[in-house]
Order: sequence, then structure tokens, then C-alpha cells
Amino acid sequence: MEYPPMTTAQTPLTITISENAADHVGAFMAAEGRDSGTLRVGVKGGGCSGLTYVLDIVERPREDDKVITQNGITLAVDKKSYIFLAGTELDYSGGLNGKGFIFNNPNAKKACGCGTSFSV
Amino acid sequence: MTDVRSAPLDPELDHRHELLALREAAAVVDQASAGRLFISGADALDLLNRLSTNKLEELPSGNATSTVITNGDARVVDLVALGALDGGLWCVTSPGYAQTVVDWLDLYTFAEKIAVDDRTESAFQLTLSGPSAATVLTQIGVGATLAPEEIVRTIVGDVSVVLWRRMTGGADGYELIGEVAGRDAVLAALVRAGAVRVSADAWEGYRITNGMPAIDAEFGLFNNPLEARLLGAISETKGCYTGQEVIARLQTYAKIQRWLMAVELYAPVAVGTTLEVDGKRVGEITSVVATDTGASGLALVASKAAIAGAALTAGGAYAVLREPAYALATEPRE
Repeated sequence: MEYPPMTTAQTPLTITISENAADHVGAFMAAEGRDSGTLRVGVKGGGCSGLTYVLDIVERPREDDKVITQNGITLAVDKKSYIFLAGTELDYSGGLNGKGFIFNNPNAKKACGCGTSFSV
Repeated sequence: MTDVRSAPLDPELDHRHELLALREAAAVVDQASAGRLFISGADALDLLNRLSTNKLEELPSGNATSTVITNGDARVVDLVALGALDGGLWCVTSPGYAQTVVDWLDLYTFAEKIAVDDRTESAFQLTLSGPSAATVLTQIGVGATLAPEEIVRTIVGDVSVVLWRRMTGGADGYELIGEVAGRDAVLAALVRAGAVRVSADAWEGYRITNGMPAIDAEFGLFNNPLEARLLGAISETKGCYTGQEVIARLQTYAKIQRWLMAVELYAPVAVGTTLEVDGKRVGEITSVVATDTGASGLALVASKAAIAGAALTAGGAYAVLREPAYALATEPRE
């Protein structure tokens, strides 16, 4: 596996979060009794295809994180994860058949059957 | 008659004599070409569990196992042995594959607490094998009662070593790993206690006749671990790991294309020689060693033709397939 290119003309150098996803992140923070917080987004090794997405709500970004604020949500990504996530839109699929948070990641060349892991 | 225990290693030495020591007595081989890593950190086992085929959720100190690191297509990056000791994991890789494993773990390390120390050059590794191996260990006062896949730290003479009982070269054996400065003293102690020093070539013959697959021959990035019959290192119940989806699909739908088989040949042939049935290609010789009666080899054979006892031809010579002993010893029983 090679690292994906940092950017292309079609891939904006950022991570976006849809309004729907932002609303649900806000709801999760409220459920945890938080007035504020940071959505940590990242990847880790594993899953059927090699890389899996990680979401966590934390107090604040780390010093070396890339920080993005959109739709009222502060989003933090560590630099190595960002290489694999640049251009990703975080969305949310709700309802009975919904999948929850969805990563629309332009770097992902392949994904496993359940869609929770990917390779580049 | 030459005292074989003290005989210098001679490249012209008849490998049959060395194989006899491995089969009937006790022999020691220097595994300098194997990779030796020491992996530590709170997340080390979890990361390895996510990246490889065997169940590694827990590996208490003193225990060891083998696992296959696979890529997303379930191709083999390497087969590694892991032993929990010294507050971390000793990891033995295939010869020449230490850096590959180091790079692979680094690629997939994000926020994990893990440190990988390549000790291939700084640590020696001697393998003791053969039916009298435990007797040799008793003679030097260590570890004769070790259980399979048990790993301990002990002293040989005044050298601190890791003593690790595991399947190696396709047979029961013991690894002795320590700082390289202590190698000669440990080797001498083993030879004095009755172990015959054998060459890497003899060890290769031992591996082949034991049916033990090796990287770049029977497995690698060109195939999956099921073809190499590494089922003893694959958990079917652990859940997701890299390559798991492909492996589960191959097993569920019986889509394994090739199968590792042992081959008895009545004449030595070259690696890469085609196996044929009625003039039709069914496989390829992947490893071969000359024997008294001709040669023994390993081959990857089309699943439909991989039948023990089946007769075929290899380069025009008569050949018979049989089950590899290592696979029979390690594959889970139904």
C-alpha cells in the first residue's frame, strides 16, 4: 500500500461534515452532558480492508492536530490520519436502515462489504 | 570414525548425515538470516491482532503463537512467530523479512503506543531440533520440561537467552535467542551436550521434507495463507482483521484455487517444474531437496488435483503427491 497523494485538483484539502452529521454529533455531545467538545476523526489499521475509521468525542484537539470547524462542530484529525482522509465528507444516514456516520472518502479505492474499512 | 559433534562445518558435508541428526538425534542450526524483532507497548498486541490472522487478544507472558500478516486482499506479507516475554513480544520473521514487517507495522500505526526494535543483527538465534533435543537441554541444565509454545528466559553457561519451544522447520524444536556476543558460547554448550551442528542447506531439506511452507516459495504476496495450508495460524472466530473478508469467502464458498502438497519424486527436478496429469498442467514445484530415493518437494497444486496418493509427472519424471506433515500436524481437526 502506498500513501495517497496529498491532494488533487478534484480533492479539496479538507474534511467536511454535513449539517445532518453535525446535528447528530451535537446530539451525542448533549447526551454525554457536554456543553462543548471536539470530534476526533481518524483511521487505524485493521478491518477487512486494512484501515478503519475512528470517531471519538474529546475535550480538545491535540497540539499537532489539524483542526477544522464547520456547521458548529470542531473537528480534529491527527496528521497521519489526515493523509488518508483529505477530501472526505462525513455524513450521517439515519432511520431504521441507516448506517449511522458515513465517510465519503475519495482516497478509498476499495471498501469491505460492511463499509467500515477501506484501502487506498 | 569422525566425531560428528565436533566436526567443523564443511560445505561439502553430506547433507544426508545432517538430516539424519535432525531426524534421529539432535541438531542445531544458526538462524542468522531469520528476522528478530522485539515489539513493545500497550497497543502492540491489539495492533497485531487487527493486522493478522490468529487470535491475539490475549497472549500472557510465557506464551507464544504464530500468525500470518495479510494485506487487504488476504495475500501474505509474512508468517511470524510471536512470544510474550520480557515485557513485550519477541517476533521471529521469515529470513530477510524483518524490515518488511517493521515497515508494515509502521504504516498501520496511527495513535497506537507501540515500539518495534529490529534485533536481527544484535541478537543470535540458534534452533535446536530432533527427538533428542530435550535431552540436550537437560544436559546443559535448562528448559527440558517446556510445553509447546512456551517461552522463558534462562541462562546457558553465563549467557542469558530466550528459550522458546515451537514448531520450527515444520517440527518440534527450541529457539535460543540472546545477545550476539553470547552466540559462540551457547553453540559450543549445545554441541558439547550432543547436538550436531548442521548447515542452513540441511535445515532447508528438513523444512521441505517436513512439509513446512516458506516465504517466496510456498506463500507470499502471490497467494493467500489458505493455499499454503497455514490454517493452524488462522482463527475463524476472531472477527475482523485485514484480509479476513477474503479468507472467510474463500473458505465459505470452497474457492481455494491451489493447495500445498508434498511431492515424492524419483529424480530431482528444478523449482518451477510443472506438474502434469495426462499432459495437463495442474501445479508447480515450489521447493525441492535430493534424497536417497530421488527427491522430495513441495508444490502448489490445483485443488481438484491435490489428492494424496495421486500419480503425476514433473518434468517427465514420475511423482506422487502426499499430505505435507506440517499441515497434518497443525490444521484443526474437524
